[in-house]
Amino acid sequence: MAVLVVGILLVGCSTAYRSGQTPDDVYFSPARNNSGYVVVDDEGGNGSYNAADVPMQDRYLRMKTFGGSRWNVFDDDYAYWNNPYWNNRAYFDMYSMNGFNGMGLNNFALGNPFMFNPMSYYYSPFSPLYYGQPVVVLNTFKTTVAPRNSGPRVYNLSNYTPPRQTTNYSKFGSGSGQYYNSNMNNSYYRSNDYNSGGSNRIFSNNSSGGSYAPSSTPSSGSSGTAPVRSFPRGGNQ
Amino acid sequence: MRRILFSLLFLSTTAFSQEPADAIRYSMTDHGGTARSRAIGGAVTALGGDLSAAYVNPAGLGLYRTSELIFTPSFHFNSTKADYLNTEKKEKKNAIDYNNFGMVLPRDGSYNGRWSNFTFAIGMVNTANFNNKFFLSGNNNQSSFSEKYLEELVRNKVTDPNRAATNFPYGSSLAFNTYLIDTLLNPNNTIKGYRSLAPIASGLQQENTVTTVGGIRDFFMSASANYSDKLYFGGSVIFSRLSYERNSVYRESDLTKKLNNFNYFESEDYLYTSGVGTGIKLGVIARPTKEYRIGLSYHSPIVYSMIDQYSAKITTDLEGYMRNGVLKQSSLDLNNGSMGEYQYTFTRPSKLLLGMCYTFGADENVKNQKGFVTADVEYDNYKNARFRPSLNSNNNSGADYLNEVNGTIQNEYKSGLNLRLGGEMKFNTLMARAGFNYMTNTFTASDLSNKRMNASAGVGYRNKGYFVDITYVYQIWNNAYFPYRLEQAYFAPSYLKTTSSNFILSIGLKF
Repeated sequence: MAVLVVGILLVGCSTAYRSGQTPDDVYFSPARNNSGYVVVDDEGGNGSYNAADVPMQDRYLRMKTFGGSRWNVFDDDYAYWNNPYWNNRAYFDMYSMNGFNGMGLNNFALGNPFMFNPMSYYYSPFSPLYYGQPVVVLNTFKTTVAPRNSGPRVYNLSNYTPPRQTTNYSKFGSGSGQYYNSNMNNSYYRSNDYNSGGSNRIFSNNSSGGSYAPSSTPSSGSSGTAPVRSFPRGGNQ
Repeated sequence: MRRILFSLLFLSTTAFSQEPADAIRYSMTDHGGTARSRAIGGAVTALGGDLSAAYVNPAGLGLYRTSELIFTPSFHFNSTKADYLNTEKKEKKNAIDYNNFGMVLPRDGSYNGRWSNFTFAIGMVNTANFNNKFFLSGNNNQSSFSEKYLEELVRNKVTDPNRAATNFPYGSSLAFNTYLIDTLLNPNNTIKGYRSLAPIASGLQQENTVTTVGGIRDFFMSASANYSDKLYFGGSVIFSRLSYERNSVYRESDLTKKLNNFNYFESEDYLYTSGVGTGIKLGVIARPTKEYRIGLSYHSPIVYSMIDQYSAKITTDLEGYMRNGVLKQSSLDLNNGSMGEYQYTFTRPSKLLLGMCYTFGADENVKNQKGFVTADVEYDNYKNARFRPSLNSNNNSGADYLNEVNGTIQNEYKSGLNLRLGGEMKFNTLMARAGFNYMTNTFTASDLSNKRMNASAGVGYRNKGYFVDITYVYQIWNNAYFPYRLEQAYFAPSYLKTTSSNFILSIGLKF
């Protein structure tokens, strides 16, 4: 959406520096009221600004061709109310009904180099009149239907970062890049002497051990979504 | 009962836990921005006159005397090499995005003849790009991913297997219900612990594919004032939007290919994090002579309101163990079809930037403008990144854990420096640029590194009221990723090295 907006702006805007040097504010630019920029002299220009050189007719015709009636709003005389050229003439004052009605401003506008000045209220991208509506930012959060579990994604931080003061965080094996956290939790220990070769985690203090059946009822021979295993308390299957 | 159930759910471990790495990911941002600023390494703190000033040093907007509209799309070609257990794998991922856009509107000042002009700007910039993909693979006979489930159950003294089957829906319960882990019994049939069916001693092939997308976009509104072309002051209000989506598929397979009650298991984890935050940026530029500029900028912490949504799934093929075939279970099955969700706040730490610049031909006549050199140093205090429970939350759920994470951040990470250097040569309407950017390592562990280095070059053309800048940035980024961590067994990091080719195009209009 933003790309679209910017694209429209770039296509729709015109520049006041089409025939002059393009200012580069990184270095230095004069104040805007110091007339315009000198004409670019890549082609041997004389360094002076000449409003008559600006081919505004081309620009206007091009806009009308592509935009059709879309640009009619610019034919309205109000578009030039803040144009210094017009404001210098009392009969073009937007508040002057005489000038407004009688001077055929549309014809004058064709020769006005500031006609498409984007700073004009009607042409300003900030103007709701130009684009019709102000920009609305929508909340695009993804949501689930009914999230119910609240809690951070908890990690056992003791193996993320062992306390530096008390723990050796040593490399295992030359160049193997394996880590071993020697800050062991003494409440249980690891054993991998199980006959399958897998590893065990065994409670060292079995006082809290429950008296539960050894295994649940398996889904015999089944594949697919696993059911939640259930264990009868204190008895064998 | 409900309270007990909640507290147990709260203790569950997921593959993507709330961990310190999240803080660094969201804090280790870059300027991003216009092709011109990227070409000179982002060293624009003292430069000004470019839209990038709005989000680096707003005072630089004060150099604007002409209005500007600019749009910057970019194209990224990433390649990540993962070194895991002495095995290297490479994965590629490409992306396109609109890097920034904005508008600058200066207004003449002349109050008392001192304030030359005031400048306003609005726009957007990408400060982080999370689009990436990597694949790691290695053979391991020291430990198994499944052991973290064992540790979780034993650490929480889960002697009731019914609890093991239900109370850890993002980890151990899935492993338990699919028989990846099972009970270990005393002779009297009481539970003495849990065991994994993964045959560690005979060797496991471990593979992990991680795909991430998202980024951080800062929307800004800026204002700047120019005092007699000697001093420039500026400020920006930042509205930041963060999104991060990660999919991980981890697989362990039996290396022996024998019937031993273990063929393979696969763990799929999904995380979507989004957040919005606000902050401000303030800056000043001094211009003692036409050529020299010195800039200083402060970026306040940005406080994000964040939300995590996550799910997990485990699939096992245990070669008929307990007369089962291929079994799978998702956290959605244990959570009424809902994803896990958690709201919290994250504070991205502040930044301080200092820059110097020298311009050759600081003149309004374009033909006299010859170039500039510029350099920045940025200080980032990553240790101050903070997670906190959501301000909107009625309870303080997770506060203790998040405090623990904050403490771990301070232990695991250190402050960082970001050094930038760049320059431009200008030939009337044509420009050539080059730059360099180096972000220091922020791990405290000496053998881990997440340093970044950018080398950039670009060209620009500026005439007839338009300008076009094209920049190529080559980035090398080291990082370390742990597929799993264990408390009582060996585990290995994967050393990641991402190289990225970025093509950045800026199209602008002066009016």
